[in-house]
Amino acid sequence: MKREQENKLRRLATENVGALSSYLQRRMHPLSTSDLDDIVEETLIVIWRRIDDVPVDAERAWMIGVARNVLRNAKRSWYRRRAMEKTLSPSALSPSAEDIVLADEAVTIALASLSAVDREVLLLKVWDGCSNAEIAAIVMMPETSVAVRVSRAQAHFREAFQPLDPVVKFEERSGQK
Amino acid sequence: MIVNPHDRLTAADPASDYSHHPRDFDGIIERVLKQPRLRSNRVPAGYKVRWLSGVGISGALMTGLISLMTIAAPSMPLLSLSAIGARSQIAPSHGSVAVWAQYEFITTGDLQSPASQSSAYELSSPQDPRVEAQTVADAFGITAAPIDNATNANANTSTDSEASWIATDATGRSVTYNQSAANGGYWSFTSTAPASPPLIMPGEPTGAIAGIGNAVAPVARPPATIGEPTANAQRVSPHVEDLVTSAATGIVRRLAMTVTLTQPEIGVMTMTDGSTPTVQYTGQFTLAVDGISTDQNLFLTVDANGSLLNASGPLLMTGSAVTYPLRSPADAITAMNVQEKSRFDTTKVMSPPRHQSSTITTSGGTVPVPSTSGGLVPPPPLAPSATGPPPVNIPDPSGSVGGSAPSAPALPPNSGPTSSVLPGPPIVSVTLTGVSIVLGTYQASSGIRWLIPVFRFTSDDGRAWNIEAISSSLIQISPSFCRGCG
Repeated sequence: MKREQENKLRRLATENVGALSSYLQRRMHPLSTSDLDDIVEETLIVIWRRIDDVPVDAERAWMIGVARNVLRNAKRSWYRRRAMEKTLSPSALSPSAEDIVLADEAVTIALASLSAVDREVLLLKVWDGCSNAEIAAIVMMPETSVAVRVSRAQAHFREAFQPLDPVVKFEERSGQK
Repeated sequence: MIVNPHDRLTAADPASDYSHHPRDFDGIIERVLKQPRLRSNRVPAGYKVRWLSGVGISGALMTGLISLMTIAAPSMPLLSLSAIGARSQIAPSHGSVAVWAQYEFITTGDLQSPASQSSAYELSSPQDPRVEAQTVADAFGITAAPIDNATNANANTSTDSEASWIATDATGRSVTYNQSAANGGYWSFTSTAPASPPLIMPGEPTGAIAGIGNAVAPVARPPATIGEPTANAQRVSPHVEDLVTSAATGIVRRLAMTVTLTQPEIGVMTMTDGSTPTVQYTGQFTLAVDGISTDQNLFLTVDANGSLLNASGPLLMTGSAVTYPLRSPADAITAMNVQEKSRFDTTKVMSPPRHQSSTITTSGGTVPVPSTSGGLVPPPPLAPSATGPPPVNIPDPSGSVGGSAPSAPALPPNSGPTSSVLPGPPIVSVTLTGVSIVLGTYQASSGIRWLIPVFRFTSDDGRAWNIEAISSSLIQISPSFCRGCG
């Protein structure tokens, strides 16, 4: 039985480590190779502990969901540690790494106009290539709701996207201040 | 230049051409396999997903920092509070992805606070986690004794000890209870077997639990009430609403929580785990205290017969209340703008984005930025943002973010020192159109958790933005917050 479970983990890891790494890299870019390996390992530990619970029809989505929680925990630990270190100092928080990865300002602004949930489902769809069913498993939402949200997010993104020259747009926006 | 929005978004994918395979993959696997496994709860996959959701949410309230100033009036507690409510901060929480942009909050009119003062509530501290777990198990009719679930997969804190107990009965129904100083108690219930006795039967308006007799004595707590469905609640039949709300009310009552239920969002889910699809109904309720919504939620799923399949939520019981004066919404908005601006004013450096060309010029000139080690934490700080409106030259996105003719080679995650800076953040204006008061969860340095009033601003695009509502003379907020981390 144990051998069976070990083989299952090996298979899951082999088949999905690429998807997990890409997911993590997108959300915490840039990650050093060693840090990325650490998070992947932490994710696999959780998966191993729950190896009997991995749904056969949504393995990748389930694993990405675990990675999502691990990443969230890692961030939370950092924020907490940082808060302890700088209890009263008015230090501004740097944007998370995924904030700064987008060099395309037009895309950045359009994404910023979306709600966090819409943004997440849209990026899971476009960047991670997840199906609606997979997104539903990852974000813990009914599939029908995901379909609506993806559609809405795409529409809002298109609406908010203005492929203008970034320099002009930035100056205009700055000038409004 | 790519002008199609979808293509531009696709091209902006930071991992589009990224393929990573751990160097020591076999070593990782061997180390992983040495870790203990959890005993399987034998829960069908769909249910398990919901259970994970609940546990995930339990921990999704950890960020920020506030402290009450010692000049507070004698009637008010002199507290140093660590915020544990991501939602108490101005950035919308939820979701893993945020973007680098500075929000500028404006209003079209004069927003009036619903009240000039509001109560903060001390939360009853959980006791011995084993005892609390037993109480929760009793509430759900699980007669098995809780066992220490020390290898809790979702235990996530290194600085905050977290206890986890699990009780599973012979039918496979189980309750997991997690408890930590920061998050208090959080429970989740799962039922495996459609054939097992229904926990909550339809048509019981008081939410009584069937099949468990007198497992728990009636409690002398304020009864749970159900608020009006919100406008965005999915349209479901009144019968379904009854099923779900009856189950939720029953849970609150059995757990003796001093809260009411409000803003139900009820959904329909078709499960395909078995040989034939089955319909389940999901419910999300916001917990409220004295009619004011909190940042705490209760989730549950019932089947078509009203049997509870899974549920999760906090163990929330309020203690003493203290009334605080509130600052004006205008002051709060000013604070939000200051907080937003402060995030980008400090001179900082960062490693360049992967797909960005190697040099970007600001009005302040090009600033050399060494590439950092790119560690997970802390994330690399920002490049210096120029004061005033800076003219910024940004590389043609079609070439810089994965277009067909990149103007510069993509940078590997840690490619050593480079000479590069980022421009100031794009300004995203947000028009606030409404304000309400909610209660956010915070933890005092003494360990006691509090619900304190928070302004929830709504913007014209339907989003919500939260910031502490207590008068700034009584509270000092460190502008650390979690953007998209929880």
